[in-house]
Amino acid sequence: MTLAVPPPAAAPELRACGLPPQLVVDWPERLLAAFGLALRRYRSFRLALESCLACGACGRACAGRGDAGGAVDLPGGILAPAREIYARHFAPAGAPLRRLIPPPPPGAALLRSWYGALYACTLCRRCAAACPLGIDPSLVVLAGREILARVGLVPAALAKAVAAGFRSGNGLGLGPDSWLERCRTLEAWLEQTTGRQIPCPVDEYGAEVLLIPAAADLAFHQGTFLGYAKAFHAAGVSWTTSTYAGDADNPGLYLDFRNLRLLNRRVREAVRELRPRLVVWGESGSGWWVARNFSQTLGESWEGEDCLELKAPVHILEWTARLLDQGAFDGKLKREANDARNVTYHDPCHLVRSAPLRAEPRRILRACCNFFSELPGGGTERQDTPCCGGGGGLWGPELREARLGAFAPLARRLEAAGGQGCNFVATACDQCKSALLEGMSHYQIPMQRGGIMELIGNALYPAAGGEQEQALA
Amino acid sequence: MSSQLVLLYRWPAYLAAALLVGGLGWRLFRLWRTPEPLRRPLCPAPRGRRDLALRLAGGACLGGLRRAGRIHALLAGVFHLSLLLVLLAHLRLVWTPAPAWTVALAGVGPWAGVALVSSCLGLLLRRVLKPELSLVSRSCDYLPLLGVLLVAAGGLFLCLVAPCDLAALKALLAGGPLPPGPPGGALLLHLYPALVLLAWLPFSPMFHALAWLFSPARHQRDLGRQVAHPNPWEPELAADAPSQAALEPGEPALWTLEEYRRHLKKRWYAQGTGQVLSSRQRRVTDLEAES
Repeated sequence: MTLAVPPPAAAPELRACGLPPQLVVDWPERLLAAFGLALRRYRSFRLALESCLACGACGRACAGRGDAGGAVDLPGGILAPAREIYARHFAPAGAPLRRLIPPPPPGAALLRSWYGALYACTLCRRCAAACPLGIDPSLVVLAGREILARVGLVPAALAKAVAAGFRSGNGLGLGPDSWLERCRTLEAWLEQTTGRQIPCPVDEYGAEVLLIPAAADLAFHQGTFLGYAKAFHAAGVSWTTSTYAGDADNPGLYLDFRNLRLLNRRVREAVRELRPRLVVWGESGSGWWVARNFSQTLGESWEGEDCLELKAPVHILEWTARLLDQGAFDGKLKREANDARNVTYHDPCHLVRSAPLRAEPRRILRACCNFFSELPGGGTERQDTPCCGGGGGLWGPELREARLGAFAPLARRLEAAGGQGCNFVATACDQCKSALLEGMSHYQIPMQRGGIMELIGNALYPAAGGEQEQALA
Repeated sequence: MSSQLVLLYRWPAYLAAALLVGGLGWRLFRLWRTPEPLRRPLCPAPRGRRDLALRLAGGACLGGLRRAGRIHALLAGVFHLSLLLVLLAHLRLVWTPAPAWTVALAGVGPWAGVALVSSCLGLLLRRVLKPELSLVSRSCDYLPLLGVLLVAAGGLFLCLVAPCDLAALKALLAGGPLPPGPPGGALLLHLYPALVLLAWLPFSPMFHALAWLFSPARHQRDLGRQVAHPNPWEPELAADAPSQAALEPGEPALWTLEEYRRHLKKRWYAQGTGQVLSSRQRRVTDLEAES
């Protein structure tokens, strides 16, 4: 199978990301310089290139591999171009020979195959769990993407999302007016379906909680966003979203360190302006990885933010599970409202392997649904959780094949769940939700999908009109 | 005669040992000096030092192989165990006086050698026969296996068919008085490939023997929220910020912090808010009102 190569980004987006506006003319030299810099900056990258044996254990775990339906033969196929450049230009054993005969610079074919392979990876880290040598191929992919970004080679959809983060505060490009309008629409919808005034505040000063929702929750998966509003209303906690830092996802993670850092910094700047007591992160897998593990690292620590009660972000599921335990929702949960749904749960990859959050979603689902069962056909640990194909910044129609290929193992398990009577798959990541929608329609799996907060929201204030999200969409 | 012995046996062995130790030290030092800017352990990861030690100990016992394929795990497991046995048995050649257990191990040496050769062959066959593996394999993936195969086969031949004088070899390696004659047998067939392999070890993927200890995905603890993790090259990034000046005229403007502040002020003014209280201040006023 040949690799689908995503179209490269246009100059305005690349400039907004602080990158060269097109593929630079002297890219072979710039690529080698960036490769050397990455070797000095990332131990994970150096370790992988110095000690990888190409034993193929990662390939067995990879959801995107060829025989599982994916686009690349192996993570080895992703590592191969990097190993080739390393062996030719950086390996210490070849150093004396390189002095005598300088190796030819990398060619266009190598660049093309590496670019295609790097953007066929969903960064689910199943390969990292499988590697006997402790190498994390996904970190090699991230370093590789940074190297290519430095010569100006980035897929259009990814650069657009990152640029949108700088232009409008979220990866979807919803401006402040559009954001506000959507929240007002949701408020009107909430009043219509539940008969209550449930607010969806925007840019309020001094609320208890600054919620960083996934922007896709506001635009596409509104059920989840309504769930946030209902949970905060039921708990009696004032909250707000910010139009400046309005996205739990950080597309910069998929691009390079610079943009990851700058997009992450916006959250702290919003905290300083709005002065909440708690920063609560919405349903997002990769976004939670960045928030939980990197917030203290990208720039200064959060210790200095005097308004914050807790100097670190909290996930909405942690927050909800805590309130459940404290009895904030006692007597308010009507589990029977979800009785039409036989629920199963798909673990987002980063909530298992990068920033674990496995007990809380299950606790919440058991509290708000009468019918909940685990996804059949395998475990829920380490590399056992399947990949939905939605991560890694593989956006746009060109990479549909890659996404659907990686979805195939999950599709088989969902079919098994359907056989057991499940008709609703819950998940806690907006990218999973989008990928599930695409994958389940492609593989013709007659199930619905939605967020965990959607289910608990429905149990708190059942919508009179039934399926809220479908009606809104 | 004596200068020939030194030239043929002693110096190559010392040179290989120097390259092995020096190379390992240099490569490990460089790996240790390379920072990992982000805390991204593979989870579930340990939080305490004790659990971390257990995780690393599990790795040292080839625990990583339990997730690999069955054939792969079997071949690699047998390979590493027999290699360990063979190396331990060789200790009697450099350890004076040789401990009894190394001498006892020498008894199972040939069996371990057979296991080593066959697992090596198996790993090579696997690499050649699996198309997805042969596609991505480079010479540096085949050569260590071929090298170990050559050395182990030579060792078996030396051990079973044409044995050499071990006492003479030991005297040669020890650096003391020279033996009267060369160790003889098929020693050179085994010795030279082994020395080349040892000298090359730090500069090839065989370096994984020690490098895995430095894997951030394995040795980092899961303390992302609790512990700051300074990035040593952070200062290089400090001045880097999204800039309107970098854009061409006509391109969409950036939603900067100044812009956001203006937006908030306008919005709050329109709401008729004279003074805004933070939640903490509000809480204090509420308490005062209650009392």
